[in-house]
Amino acid sequence: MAADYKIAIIGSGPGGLSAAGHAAELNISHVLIEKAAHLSDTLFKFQKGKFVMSTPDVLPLRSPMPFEAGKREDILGNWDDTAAALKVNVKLSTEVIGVEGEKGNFTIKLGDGTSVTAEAVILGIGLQGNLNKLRVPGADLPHIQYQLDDPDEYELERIIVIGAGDAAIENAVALSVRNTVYVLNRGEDFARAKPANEALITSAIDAGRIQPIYKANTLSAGEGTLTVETPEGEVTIECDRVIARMGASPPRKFVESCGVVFPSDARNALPECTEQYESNVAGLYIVGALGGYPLIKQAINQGYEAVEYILGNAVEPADGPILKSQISILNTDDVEGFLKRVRESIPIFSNINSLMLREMMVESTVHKFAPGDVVFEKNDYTNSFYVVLEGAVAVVLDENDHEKRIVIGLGNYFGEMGLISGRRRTATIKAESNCVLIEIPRRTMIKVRGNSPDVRQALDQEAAIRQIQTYIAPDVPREDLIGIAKSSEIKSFKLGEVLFNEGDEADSLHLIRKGSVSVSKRLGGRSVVLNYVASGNYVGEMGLVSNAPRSATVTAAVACETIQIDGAVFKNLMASNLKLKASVESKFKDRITQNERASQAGTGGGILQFLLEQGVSEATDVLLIDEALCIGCDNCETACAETHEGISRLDREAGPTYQTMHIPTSCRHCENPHCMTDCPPDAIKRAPSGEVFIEDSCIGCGNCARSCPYGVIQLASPENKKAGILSRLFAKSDASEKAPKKAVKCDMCRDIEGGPSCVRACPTGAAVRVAPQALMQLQGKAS
Amino acid sequence: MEIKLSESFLAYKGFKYLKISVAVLIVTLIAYLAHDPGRTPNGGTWFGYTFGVISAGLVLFLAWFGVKKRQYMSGVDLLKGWLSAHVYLGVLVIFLSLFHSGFQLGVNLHSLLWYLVLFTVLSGMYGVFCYVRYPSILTGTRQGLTRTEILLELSELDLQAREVAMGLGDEINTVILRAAQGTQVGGSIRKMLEVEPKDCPTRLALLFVDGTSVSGDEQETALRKLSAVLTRKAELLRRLRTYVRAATLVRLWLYFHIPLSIGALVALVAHVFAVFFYW
Ligand SMILES: Cc1cc2nc3c(=O)[nH]c(=O)nc-3n(C[C@H](O)[C@H](O)[C@H](O)COP(=O)(O)OP(=O)(O)OC[C@H]3O[C@@H](n4cnc5c(N)ncnc54)[C@H](O)[C@@H]3O)c2cc1C
Ligand code: HEM
Ligand code: SF4
Ligand code: SF4
Repeated sequence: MAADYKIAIIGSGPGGLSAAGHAAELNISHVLIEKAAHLSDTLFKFQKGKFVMSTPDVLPLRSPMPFEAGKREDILGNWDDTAAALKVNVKLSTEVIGVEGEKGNFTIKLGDGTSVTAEAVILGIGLQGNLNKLRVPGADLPHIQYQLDDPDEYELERIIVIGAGDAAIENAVALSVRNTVYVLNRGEDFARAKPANEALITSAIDAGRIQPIYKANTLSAGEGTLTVETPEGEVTIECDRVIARMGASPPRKFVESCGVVFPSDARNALPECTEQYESNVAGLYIVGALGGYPLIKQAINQGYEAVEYILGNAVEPADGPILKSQISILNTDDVEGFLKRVRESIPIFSNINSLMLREMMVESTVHKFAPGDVVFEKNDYTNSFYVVLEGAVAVVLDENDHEKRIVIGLGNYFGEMGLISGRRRTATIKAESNCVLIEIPRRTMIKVRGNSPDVRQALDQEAAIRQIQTYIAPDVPREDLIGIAKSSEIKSFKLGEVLFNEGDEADSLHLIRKGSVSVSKRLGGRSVVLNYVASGNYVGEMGLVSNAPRSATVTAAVACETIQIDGAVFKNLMASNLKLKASVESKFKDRITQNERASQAGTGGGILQFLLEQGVSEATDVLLIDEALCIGCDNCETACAETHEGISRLDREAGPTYQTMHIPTSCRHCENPHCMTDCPPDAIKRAPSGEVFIEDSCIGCGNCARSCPYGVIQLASPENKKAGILSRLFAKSDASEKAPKKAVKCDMCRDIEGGPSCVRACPTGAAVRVAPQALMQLQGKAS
Repeated sequence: MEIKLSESFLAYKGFKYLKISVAVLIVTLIAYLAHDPGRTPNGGTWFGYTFGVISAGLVLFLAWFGVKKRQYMSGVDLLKGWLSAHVYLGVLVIFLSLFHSGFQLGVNLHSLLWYLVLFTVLSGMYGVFCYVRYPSILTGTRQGLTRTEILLELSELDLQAREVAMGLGDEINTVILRAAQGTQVGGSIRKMLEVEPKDCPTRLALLFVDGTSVSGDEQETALRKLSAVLTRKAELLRRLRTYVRAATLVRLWLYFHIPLSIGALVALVAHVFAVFFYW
């Protein structure tokens, strides 16, 4: 039996729509199936009037679907028109619930119980996932909604917000200004949310602006009511509106149910695909955000290419020209040959999939260095990863002694320590001979590591050896360390998770390779923070040296990774290396004294505890305001706005305060910036001197603002300063004339001589910028 | 702060400008006392001229602060350093100009200049007093809340009060409504400086409620609840007003300091002009 269609395309985002458009253009029988009642639901849900950007500009567009930067409405309008003109065969309001079968004969099961068949399937369902909906009687009543576009739309209503995550909190707080708001929380707190949001809702609850109902389960909904089960019993609440924000389930489960395999459990793991976007299920192609390409233009191109591949045509991938320009420095334009060479000469990349290798190269830079050239300097904050494709480089151990260096040769790599810890470079690297290096951006490398267990294992193992050597045992020969690294384990700890408890048996040592920990002890019935230990240091040696149980509790102050070294193995190493033994013992003595002093001071830990609770330990530079001096003139904010297109990136008044130390809302330039993780065009960068800044390639998607736990990123359009006063006076105040909104935050005035304007402009000396690490260590010593 | 991270403009670089000022004052005082002009001391001698030029230069330097404060883009230095110099060298002007004129003061244009400078300096000194006194009041009254949060809390209390009052008499409801709609924080300068204004509708409402008696358990509970809500609101208002008062005072003096300093500049130009063309 012949299939209904040659190609079935699932999801009408830019990827799916482009595929369908191309199939229609070629007169190939196809069907485009879309769950929403309109095309391209993800773009449809963008804010009204949002300016959509067409990054990366270098990438040419190949598709019948037009796309250039512009307003959401215009783009969607164009797509609707083009789809109609090309006679794309589309089924709207139809959800695909499963795909079965094999190449030539797929059955696509639809939500209404029917199904269609096709020879090939293109999956372009994006990453937005399915909003979790209420599954109770009455869930489809009109007063129940799952999205909130504009909180100012509602006034004097009684609204129930369901959920305890960031979206629920943000909605509830915004609505509480003009409405009576209840929040239904299944748990007892809001710990799941970002600290800033948790603080927001807690203060709103304390002030009585929001009524929380804890341990609540929704039972049913009626006309204008919601019935809830609470520990006190069943209650029915009258309300004008219910907004359920219960998160979305990522599409991974659905994709797996189609038979597609993911290489690892990592959050950012992507389905394994060939260079032709074909998944492990032959005939099933994956395009767009779901396949790891987070930008619209990429998705559009892939949709087009996937159709060509299904037809058996060879098309040069659209990124060809980019790759060619990347390798032009090597005087070649043979992309395939180059990729083959990378794979053959660099062992850690020998097994990664072709698509990933290609994408990695698109984002990387090929460098040529002459002997003696500096690749990066010790203490730089740069965080990219390098592999040696030709020649060799040397790690400088002693600036004055040329002999003291470690040579890193062909096929080897360096820069992995910063990749993991987000800290300054631990050594300078110079070219040893003429060499060719590939520089891979941190985010790209993290993605590769997350998607390839091979790369991950190789990297972790080697990094462990180098870290143990750098931070614990510089004098122990490498050979001895290999065994130790092999027997040790990489452990991850979430914020607040305990590494070990006071009184536990001391069976191992933790070398902190990412994040930082706090050390606390029970004194007079309560736990007092004695110290804070940053990455690049170890904890847990005290019990090993003294053969006693753990003398303190060690807790992750932020998300952490440690290398856990077995106690017996470590003791053996100490026994065979006297220098190591002496250094560990001296650290042991230091810490005893320090802990003793800190416990004597008793409450001395208060400020340390405050700083740790505010996440300051993951900052590299934080703005503090001494409230004993601040006169509230806001000259700091004015200075910031004056030097940054009219928008202040700091909110002096907001933020937590302890005694007279106030942490205003302003970027802390985190060690491992959360904001960077989900930026589609990878526009957030870290400068060698440490500042985290946002490049012009920002598309204004707002992901960073959502990811930053400290609420310091705003989306704003820069003021048009160039226009003269007159033209500004007479210009129509049309919103569309404004520059598109982009993410803005503190860049530490990196382009301004003299450093941060806020600090320079403070007349009283209240505003200061400090490196918190220094601050907290100072505290440790002072008390 | 427990750890001294910040340093006040007054203490800038270990009181560098204070030390300079005191040193200059001592040296010039000795010079002034030791110098014998041979006639009544005044600005016309070479000695007087020297002090005149220095004083005029200083006044220009002090006025330059207003420009410096607005140069956000340029300048590697900290504004607090400039303010430190401004404050300490500013006080010096009074003495140097007295040395310049040989303490001759009368009722003329030249003396007017001196009085203008004197009042500028005095207002500046009062400003420094404000900068030292008010910061702790500003933060103490907010207790970690932002102004917007306090305002939100106030409107929430209004809602609560109106809800509770619903079951009580019309008269109470009118008073409560007035308290909700008529209570103002700030407004005119006088209002901004008042912490517990007599005519505050919330205060009046509280007095009214506390002076009212009702019968019936339910009504009594409601009345007590209402009194509690209003008391909370009154307390919050007092805090907000204390804040507003401090925030106003810490800025208000500048409205004297700046015009006075402009006046002093104008008078200085007139003074120099008069001296060179009419003497
Ligand atoms: C706020 C925001 C702003 C952004 N701004 C930009 C920008 O300016 N420029 C840019 O290049 N990128 C931007 N992006 C990224 C861009 O939106 C995505 O890269 C792009 O939408 C991905 O396209 P896609 O085709 O892979 O998937 P999507 O666009 O996510 O489309 C998937 C479609 O599949 C449908 N679907 C899902 N599951 C099913 C199912 N089971 N059955 C049937 N249909 C289903 C969905 O309803 C949806 O219509 C932004 C993203 C966000 C969130
Ligand atoms: C002739 C003498 C002086 C002149 C011409 C002068 C002028 C000025 C000017 C122009 C400003 C800028 C105001 C603004 O733009 O916001 C200023 C600010 C100020 N002056 Fe003076 N001043 C003089 C003396 C003094 C003295 C003696 C003191 C203190 C002892 C003083 C203390 C201050 C303070 C505290 C500020 C506010 C700084 C700020 O908040 O930015 N001034 N003065
Ligand atoms: S914007 Fe990024 S670097 Fe700055 S505080 Fe937020 S997460 Fe940290
Ligand atoms: S500039 Fe200084 S004194 Fe003014 S508000 Fe900012 S921190 Fe406070």
